[in-house]
Amino acid sequence: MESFIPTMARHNESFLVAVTWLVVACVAPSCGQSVNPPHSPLDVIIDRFDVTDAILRDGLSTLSLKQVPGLHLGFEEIIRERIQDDPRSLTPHFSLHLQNKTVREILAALCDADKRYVWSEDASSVNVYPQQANAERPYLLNMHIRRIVVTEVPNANQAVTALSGFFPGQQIGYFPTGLGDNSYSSPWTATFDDLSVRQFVNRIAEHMGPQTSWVWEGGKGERGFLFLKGGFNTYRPVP
Amino acid sequence: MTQTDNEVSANWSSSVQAVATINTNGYASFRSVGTSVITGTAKLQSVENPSCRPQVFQSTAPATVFDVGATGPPYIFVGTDTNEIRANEYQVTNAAHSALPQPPGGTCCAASSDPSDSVTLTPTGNNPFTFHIGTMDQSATGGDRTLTFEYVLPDGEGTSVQLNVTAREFAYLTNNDPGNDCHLQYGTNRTYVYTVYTHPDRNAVVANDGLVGTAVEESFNPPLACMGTPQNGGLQLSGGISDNVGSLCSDSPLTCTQTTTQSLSVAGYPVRTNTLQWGSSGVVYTNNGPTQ
Repeated sequence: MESFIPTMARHNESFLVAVTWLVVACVAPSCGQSVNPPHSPLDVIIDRFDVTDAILRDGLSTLSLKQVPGLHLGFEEIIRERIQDDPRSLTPHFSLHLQNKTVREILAALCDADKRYVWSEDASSVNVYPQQANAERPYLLNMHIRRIVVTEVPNANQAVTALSGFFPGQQIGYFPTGLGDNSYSSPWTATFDDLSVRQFVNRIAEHMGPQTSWVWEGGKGERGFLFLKGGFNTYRPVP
Repeated sequence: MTQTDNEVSANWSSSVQAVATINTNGYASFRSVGTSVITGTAKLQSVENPSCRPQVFQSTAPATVFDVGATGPPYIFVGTDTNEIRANEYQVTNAAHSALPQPPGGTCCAASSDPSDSVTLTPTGNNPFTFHIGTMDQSATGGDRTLTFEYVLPDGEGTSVQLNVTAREFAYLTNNDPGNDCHLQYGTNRTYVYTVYTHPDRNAVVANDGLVGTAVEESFNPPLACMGTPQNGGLQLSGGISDNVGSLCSDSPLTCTQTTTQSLSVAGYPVRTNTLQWGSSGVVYTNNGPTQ
């Protein structure tokens, strides 16, 4: 498995290859099985978790809205052919009715219900992404960043714009939050070295507050990030 | 003190002079909060046969001086959102709103002149008595709703106070004219800040109304095609709404086009529709009201 290394970082390629291998290893699905410290949000028990005729996005939305303290959830939806295409018509549907299960067990059940996806942990974030992402080259979220700086950014949207121009041929964008909020409590300046785009996006989201979520979605050429404090909504057909 | 005529003598007394005194004519003066037992005694003496034993009649009754008031906003908000119910809060206190109602030891209840309103005594015990009012009915005119708060002592003595309030329903919005905050090459990203107004008073919701978190929802007809899923929110600390409207903000050209109607509601009450038109340059926003 190899990840894309931006041209600007090739001056120290051997070092970066080693770092990249570590990064890729740590976002692999097996990381989701690692032992967590006590009080991990993954160990929080959810009394009831019910989704009916759902797609994965619905299930993750439901989980994100459970208000689990400390849960930072990132979801990379499989990018559609066109942004207008309805994900509900392109995606497996399932129902889950779980009681007294941990967040970890619910994530496992969701990824089992739509086997195209896997999940893993990165620091205090949980990522759900296409299994194919590890084989797809180049896949934006797996790409490696040698160094990236955000300066006095007021919100997550402005933070992610720092990615623009980093990776030739990779379209970068973000969606409006609607009535949601992704502002920072104060302008944020930070520097990150040797991390994947996924990890960078996790850090952007984690900085918003104690419980956050982000979604990468859209169509080819018109895809973007949506950052929100708390959980995210999903389209559900009216019953 | 005694008042006499040819046939009857009568006198009155008060058991607690600090609370009430009573003059020779039987008129009471109330001096401070508390309860005093007023005793009236009448003695009937036969004029024709003065040697007969007089008949004595005596009666007692409690006389209570209350110090009771009620405090809360001059309006309540229509709806079932828990944040609204919490804001529609009234407390039964003394008249100066500085202490518990006096004399102490009583119980309290409340009622609205609209029988469909709900009245809930919060579980704070009686320190102080706190009521939450719920209503689904907007006032026709300002102050047309009467809230009555009763305070009753264990001996049955009681009093009540009333407040006239307006039941306000979320009705319409005004907004700013924000600039484009998309700093990539394509698309628009504008944050509309709305002030929420209510009927029938046409007043703005303000921070002191304590409605933060009251549900604000948006829906689109037809459903959104050119961007992600609509996200709901709540009233902000200011009492207003912040809505981040835009297209994908991108470093590559946009191709998705769509025209849709955005409907905004507060606590389930429709307050605004906007036409949003997505195109290659972003979103064109048109306010369709209502404006008042």
